[in-house]
Amino acid sequence: MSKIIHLIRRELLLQKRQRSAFIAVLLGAASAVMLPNSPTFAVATVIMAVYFMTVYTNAFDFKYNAELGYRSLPVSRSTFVISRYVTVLVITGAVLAVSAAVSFVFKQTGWLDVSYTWTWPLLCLSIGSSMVYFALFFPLYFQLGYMKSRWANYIAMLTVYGLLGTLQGYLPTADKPAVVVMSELLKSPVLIVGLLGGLVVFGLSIALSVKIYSRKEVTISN
Amino acid sequence: MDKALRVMNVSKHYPGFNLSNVSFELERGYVMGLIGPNGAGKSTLIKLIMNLVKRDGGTIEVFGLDNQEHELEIKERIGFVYDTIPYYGMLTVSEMKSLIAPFYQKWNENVFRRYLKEFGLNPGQKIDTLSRGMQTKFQLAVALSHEAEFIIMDEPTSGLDPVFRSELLDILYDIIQDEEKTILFSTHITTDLEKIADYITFINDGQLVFCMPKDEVLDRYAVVKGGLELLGSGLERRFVGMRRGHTGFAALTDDAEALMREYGQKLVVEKASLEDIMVYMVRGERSV
Repeated sequence: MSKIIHLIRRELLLQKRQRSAFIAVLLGAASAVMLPNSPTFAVATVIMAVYFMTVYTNAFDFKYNAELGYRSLPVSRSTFVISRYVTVLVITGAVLAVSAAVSFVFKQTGWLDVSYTWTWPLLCLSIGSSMVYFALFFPLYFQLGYMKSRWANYIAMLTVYGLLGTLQGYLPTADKPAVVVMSELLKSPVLIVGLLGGLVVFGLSIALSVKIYSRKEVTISN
Repeated sequence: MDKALRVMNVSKHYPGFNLSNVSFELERGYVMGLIGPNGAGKSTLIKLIMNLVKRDGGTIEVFGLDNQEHELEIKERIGFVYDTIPYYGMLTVSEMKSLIAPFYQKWNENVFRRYLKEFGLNPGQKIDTLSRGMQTKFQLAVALSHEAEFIIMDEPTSGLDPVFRSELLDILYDIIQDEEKTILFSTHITTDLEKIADYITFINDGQLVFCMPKDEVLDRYAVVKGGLELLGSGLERRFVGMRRGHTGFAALTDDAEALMREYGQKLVVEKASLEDIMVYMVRGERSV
């Protein structure tokens, strides 16, 4: 467990050093503004922020040949893979916290007509969507590596954004703001089933990535 | 005697390259030089030992333990130095250390600080801005700070100037004085090994050519030189490799004493360096 925490710390330190977290914070704030009228786009923006930070880590690992380094450390491959998934959840939580804080401030001050903040159903939808996104992305990343998996980003992004867009399209047009309608749609049973489904997909994806990464060899020259 | 490393019939296949049935052993407390030309299989072998790539056949034991089944236990006891530093260049020495240290149970912060001072490394300096030689020293400082018993070095001196290489070899020489640490040192700069290696393992084209004590290697082989008129009488068959010039030849032999007796002063015999041995064995016979 402590090794997973150290690996999460590794990712966060990389983001801090490159100040890439700043962009994620901006996206988190932007999602707060989108939330009242376009809740699915707010969720998509949260995922984009998490994606941005995760792909930065992948890029650093690629640029500095870091895989050779940490694969030479006494860390199991499964620990490394699990840490990547857990980090995604940590970053999702952090981005949502930023967004929630911004929307709270905006609501209190009345700026940008933000009159609604995050609801539990929408927070759960964000976490679930992020889980599904990275459940699609990570196995491809571990199989193909950073360079070849970039197209996988787009496929995962299109899939999740498509699902979110479809969901937005099905929102009944009523007098109520979209955020309220959507929160009502995601009442208990839907939410619980959705979250459980997301967890199952996430868990299966971890198992698949561990299997892929355990077999994967470090690319070398003789 | 206690073995730090046993490589038995190890094979690895890549498209266009085969490492075939390589076997050798390294006792604890000794330095082994792994030599061979570029593409011979040195890095493949090191990565097989580190379990960074999977072997197709054979077994590898480190400290008597299978390197796949006991990977983490073995890696706790191994220090590694690669030709290019596998650490994040935008981090400082100190930050990178803080990422690595928690993974080792026996990390000793005082030892790390002592080596930073000894190697002239600034903890606040970014890894990207360190010279290649200093990056190698940083890797070595990390390798030595978790009480590693076995240090694996893959081309650590490649790209370093002679002064830095000499300094690094002096450091390694100091490290091995306690006769507790074992070092496997791959290089194609063979002069480095003449200074510190106890054993030489020579790999060429994925095959083990020999694994012998260094002194035995240097005693066994010699370079002989003579006129072209001596050739053609079966003499070439007693050479491991030969270079033929316009007026004479130079060849590597493991039969120098007998040749001296037979040909006397018609042949000039010189001590062979590791580089001579490697070059003649790899190139075989060629005209210059």
